[in-house]
Amino acid sequence: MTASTPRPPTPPSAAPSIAPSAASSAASAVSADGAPPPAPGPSLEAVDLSVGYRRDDVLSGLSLAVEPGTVTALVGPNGSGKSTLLTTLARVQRPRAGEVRLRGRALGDWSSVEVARQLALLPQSAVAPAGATVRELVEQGRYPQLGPWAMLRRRDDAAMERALSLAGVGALADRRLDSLSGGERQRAWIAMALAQETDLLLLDEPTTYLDVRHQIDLMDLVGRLRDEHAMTVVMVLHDLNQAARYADRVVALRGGRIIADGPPAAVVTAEVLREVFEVEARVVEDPVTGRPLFLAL
Amino acid sequence: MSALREPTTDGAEREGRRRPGRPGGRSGGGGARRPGGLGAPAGVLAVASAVALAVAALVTAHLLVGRSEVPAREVLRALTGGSGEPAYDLIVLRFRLPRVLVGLGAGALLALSGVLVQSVVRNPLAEPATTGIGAGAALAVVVSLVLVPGHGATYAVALGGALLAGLLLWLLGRRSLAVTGILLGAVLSALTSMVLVVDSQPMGTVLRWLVGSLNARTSGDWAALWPWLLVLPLLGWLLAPVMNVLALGDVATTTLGLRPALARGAVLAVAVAAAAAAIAAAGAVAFVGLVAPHVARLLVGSDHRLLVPVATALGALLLSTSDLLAFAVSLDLPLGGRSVAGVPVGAVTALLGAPLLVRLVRQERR
Repeated sequence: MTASTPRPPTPPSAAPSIAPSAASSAASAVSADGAPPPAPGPSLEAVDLSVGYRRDDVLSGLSLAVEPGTVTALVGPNGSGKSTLLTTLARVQRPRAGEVRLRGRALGDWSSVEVARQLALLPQSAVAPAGATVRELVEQGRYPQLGPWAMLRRRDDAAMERALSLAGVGALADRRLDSLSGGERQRAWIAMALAQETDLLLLDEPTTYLDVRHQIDLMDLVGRLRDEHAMTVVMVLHDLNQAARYADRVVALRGGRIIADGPPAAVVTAEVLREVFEVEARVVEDPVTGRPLFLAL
Repeated sequence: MSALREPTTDGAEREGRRRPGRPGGRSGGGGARRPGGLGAPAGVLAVASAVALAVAALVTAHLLVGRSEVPAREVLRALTGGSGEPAYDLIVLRFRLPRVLVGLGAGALLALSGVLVQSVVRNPLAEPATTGIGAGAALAVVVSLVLVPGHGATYAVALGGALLAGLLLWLLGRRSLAVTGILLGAVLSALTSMVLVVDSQPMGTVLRWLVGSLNARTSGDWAALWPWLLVLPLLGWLLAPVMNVLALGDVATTTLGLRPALARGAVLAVAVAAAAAAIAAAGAVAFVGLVAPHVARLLVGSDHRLLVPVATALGALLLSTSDLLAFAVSLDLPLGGRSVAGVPVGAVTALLGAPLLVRLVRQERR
């Protein structure tokens, strides 16, 4: 295993401002990300992004370009800014400086509905209206595509059915949300995001409430969305091994900066674990997938 | 009191014990209540005809009950264009008919406003009467009556006061409408009390707006109310998809392409207009805007496309029924025929609504 903490990739505007802390760098497998982007350009891009609550910057001068058709995992300790990055990418939070670009255009230049047709977010803590059923929740995902007039009519269209079955909640469709387990509810919300029929899907800690079985199912679903539906997925994950196993690219944040960025093998290393998570660990090769697997010492 | 409490607690416990079994339960249909059940046209038709029947029954009862005996045949004759007896025409057309119509209309608008306010505040315990809108109407009327004693434009003044209070609520309460509404109501009520201490002459008139009353409603009140009924329920229903999205929280609302602040503003505007129109006509009747949406939610679930019309219809029935009760009780009071005032309907809705609400809330709690 090569020890490497590659510098954040590319966008030239960002390079100078970022991460002097990424000292131990020896760029290895990053070239795929670092090199000139493929023809269509990034689906979603953070350019020199600074985001903050009150006086403190949670993110400062962060740049990240997400290539279409990839699965990117954002990892980092609590307070590293990974969720803030995700919600800013989803336009839920406004940056203090810099901008987010969707298909090369600043988010602000798209109308709200146009963004919602291209980008869906699974929020971290979602409130469910009391008494609503799974179907009623998922139906709301159709709002950006159909608009308020069409939504006046109760409908079950193909997109809804597809979303329900993809998320594995087809059998629960008529159950009330408050009668479901946390994991089932989480999948209902994922179905709502899928019903938006977007190319981009942002997931904020999607596996948190799920048992092992459903965590695996969800991660397989993410892979299927990428392979069969050409979707681009960015997700915040707590479990580093999960990120290493399922993501094409792992971005490690700490203190609002990207410390390491690249394919799992380049990011999930003993050095990065020490620097980002303050964990002493050994990284071995996962005998099942060949991906890196870390074991705390 | 204890006799009343006993069975309620019991019911809540039974409900609580039954719950855990349900998710794993039989049929997978999601338990006894299926909120989507009324989505079918047949269900909608059934509800609509039930409402129509109830309204017909209420109107009939209202037209027949009163201090003076009016035979059913004479009521019908008065309605269908004049009879030989001018006194009957007067009683039926000028007093009884406006009263039942205003009751139905104001009830509908209060419930509509309740649904909308609850959606904006995201709290099913919010209601128009406690958002300061009613207090604004009362204050405006009191001040105007002190300045111009005995003027006849109380409806317009009350409407203006209610709308102003609604505007104030929106300006002040961007962050937390529920709390702001309660505070605004308290401040406006305090101001009203202060004015009344200085000059108690408008007391009798203003009580109508403070408690809510349908006594002595005239065709003028109905004339001021019905145009709102054409517009506001429709607007409320058109906003149902927006409210369904808002119910998912601000983050989800944003990601679904709506601006939460803008969406809430639109819903609140209709809510304030509905509350103002209803309160100007009937006063700040408590609990209708709370109980009607609550019962509607139990019947059809939380989908606003059904919730808005069903709650509106229930509100109409609830207020008018309470008014019939209030009126019937007034007739039996030992005041004889001399008292015109009678029991205000707001007192009845409060007395009926409070225990009902306690029961409902306990049932809902998991």
